[in-house]
Amino acid sequence: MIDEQESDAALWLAASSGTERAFVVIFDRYRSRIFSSAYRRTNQISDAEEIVAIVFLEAWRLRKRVRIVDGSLLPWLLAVTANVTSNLSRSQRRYGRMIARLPSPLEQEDHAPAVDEQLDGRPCRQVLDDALASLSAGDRAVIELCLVEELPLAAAAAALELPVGTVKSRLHRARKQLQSRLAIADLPDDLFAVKTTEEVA
Amino acid sequence: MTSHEPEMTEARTEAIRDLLAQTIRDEPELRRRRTRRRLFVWGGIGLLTVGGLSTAGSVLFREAAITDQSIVQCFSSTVPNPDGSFPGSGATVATKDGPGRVDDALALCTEMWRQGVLSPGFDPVAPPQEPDDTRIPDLQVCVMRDGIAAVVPSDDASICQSLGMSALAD
Repeated sequence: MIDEQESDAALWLAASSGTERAFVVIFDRYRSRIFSSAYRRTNQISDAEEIVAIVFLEAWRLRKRVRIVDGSLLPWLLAVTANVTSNLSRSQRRYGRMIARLPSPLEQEDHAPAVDEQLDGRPCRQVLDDALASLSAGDRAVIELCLVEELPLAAAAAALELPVGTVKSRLHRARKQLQSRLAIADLPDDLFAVKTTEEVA
Repeated sequence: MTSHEPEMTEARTEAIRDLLAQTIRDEPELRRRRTRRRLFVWGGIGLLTVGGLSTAGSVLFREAAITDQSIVQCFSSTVPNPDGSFPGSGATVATKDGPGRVDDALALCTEMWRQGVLSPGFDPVAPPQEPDDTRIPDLQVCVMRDGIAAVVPSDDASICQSLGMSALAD
């Protein structure tokens, strides 16, 4: 019997041993957060939903490499989300047969709120997307985790399997690059602030 | 998530849940493990069954030879006394050089039955009974653990095993 209040580590141990229920509990625990992360990048509900499915399929495929950071699977899942989103078409090809089994999104979605938001935030968003797209995949993942998802540096480093120093230097480089690219845009000054472990704690 | 951010649709969420569960069920490594476990369990049950049958067979069909012919136990009943012993009498045939010897346990006990020694209500101090008046039951020859023959009144060929003894080997 799986307790829904179990820790991530206990659930993951059960899930990776083949307990379907444990895996489903983990899915329900983090699907909203993964969906939000994916949706911020894609602005498409159906794409974001497919990314959620792919992230958890990837978690199963890579189950022996999953890292639990500070007792949570979330940092690792967010790192996978960043990778999957960056390579969405490749991921969709890998899991095409499985994704095809999902119900068609067109029959059930109300696109109005998403479309409104897309239209309202389009200019600023386009600038940000272009600036992020100009970064290398490694730098982009660091920006995603540290600035967008607001993970502490140590958690981002653990999720990406990198030394903290490397994450710091990548963050510094990516921030400089983004600042120069966004210099023409009227963006908030604290856009590139990053949380340290102490601030989060 | 901002107030404008949508949520996953219920239908696709449910479908993803099913998809993940199905993916785990179909995982070849886990299927192999399940098959191995099933084989192990059924193999274990099979071994236990074979072992149990062997043990039961050895108990049911156990036979032994008489190794101690100095005496024979002629039982008068297959129902044991409260102390676990069986009612009846030991008998032997005296030889010239001392210790007795029983070459035919069945014949000796049959003779004792004929004389009424093993009949219910036998009075050892009463005058000898007429041998022809005594009914002789079916008798089975068993071998006790110490190799001594025991002749048991029963028409059941497996009575020896039921009483924890061996049947007489041919």
